[in-house]
Amino acid sequence: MTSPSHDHSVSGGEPQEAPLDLHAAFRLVNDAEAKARQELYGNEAVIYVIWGTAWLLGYGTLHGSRFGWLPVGSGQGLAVHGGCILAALVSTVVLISRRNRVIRGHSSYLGALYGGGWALGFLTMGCLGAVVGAMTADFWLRSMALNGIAILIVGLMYLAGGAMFNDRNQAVLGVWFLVVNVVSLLAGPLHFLTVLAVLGPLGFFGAAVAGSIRRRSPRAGA
Amino acid sequence: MPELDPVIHAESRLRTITVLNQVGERDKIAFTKLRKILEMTAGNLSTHLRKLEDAGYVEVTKTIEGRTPATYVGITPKGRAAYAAYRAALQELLGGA
Repeated sequence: MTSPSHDHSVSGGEPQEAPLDLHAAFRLVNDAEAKARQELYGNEAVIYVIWGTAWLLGYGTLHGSRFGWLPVGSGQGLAVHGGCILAALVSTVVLISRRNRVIRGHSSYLGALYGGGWALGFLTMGCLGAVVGAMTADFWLRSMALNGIAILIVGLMYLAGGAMFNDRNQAVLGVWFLVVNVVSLLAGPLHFLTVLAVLGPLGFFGAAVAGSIRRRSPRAGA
Repeated sequence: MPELDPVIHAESRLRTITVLNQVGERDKIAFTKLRKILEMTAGNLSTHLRKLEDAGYVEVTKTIEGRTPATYVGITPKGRAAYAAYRAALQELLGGA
């Protein structure tokens, strides 16, 4: 992009610029659009990679504690899982709020509604967790039920995000997680972790690749 | 032959309205962020924004955030239509490139 410091001179308070030929104008529009996308929306793939990694480590550790290929107990596995999810959540909030604080208007309103939806959804899940915990003493059955509720919220929120922000990537991810949820519940308390540890990260990494491809497309976001 | 809108067909204003078009009609961007994206001086950007504002293509809003004055800039429906017409004309002149 041309630096403003050497292509302008000021005459009578009005900056004078060299005439713009058609090809230069076309290149300039594409460059400005790409720069704006990068500066305004960042790289959505980063957020998906963060979540894919959190799921891989979190559910992987739980899986290792369940099947004994990691020297950790189920309580420690749960703590690692919770830590991974919390770290991913904090990173996402920091990245999104840094990006959004320079924009105001309709998208801020949508973002607040969407963020509030996630928070209320998981608040409800926390309350349900206490109820489910009182219903069964079986650690893995309880874990499967709570993960089922959490992933239902994740799937529905991604679907809602896809509709609100006209984002096909999010909509596909929403459908993916709803299907993965059904598969994991059908797999039962013994195998649901295998399904989540494999298909969950796969969905996030797939969304990261799709997001990167879309970002490189010259007409993306136009 | 289509004609290119002279208000838009100047390097700095074309870059400015392109970025504002990406921000969208229902949102406004902080002047400081816009300046950073465009790598322009505040004075230079203000001059070009005034020209776009005079044409009715952008809207500049001044506000107070905490104790600090802040300026936000957004594209208007007229600006969005003019930009779309400019892009179509440019495409046609370039032979549908």
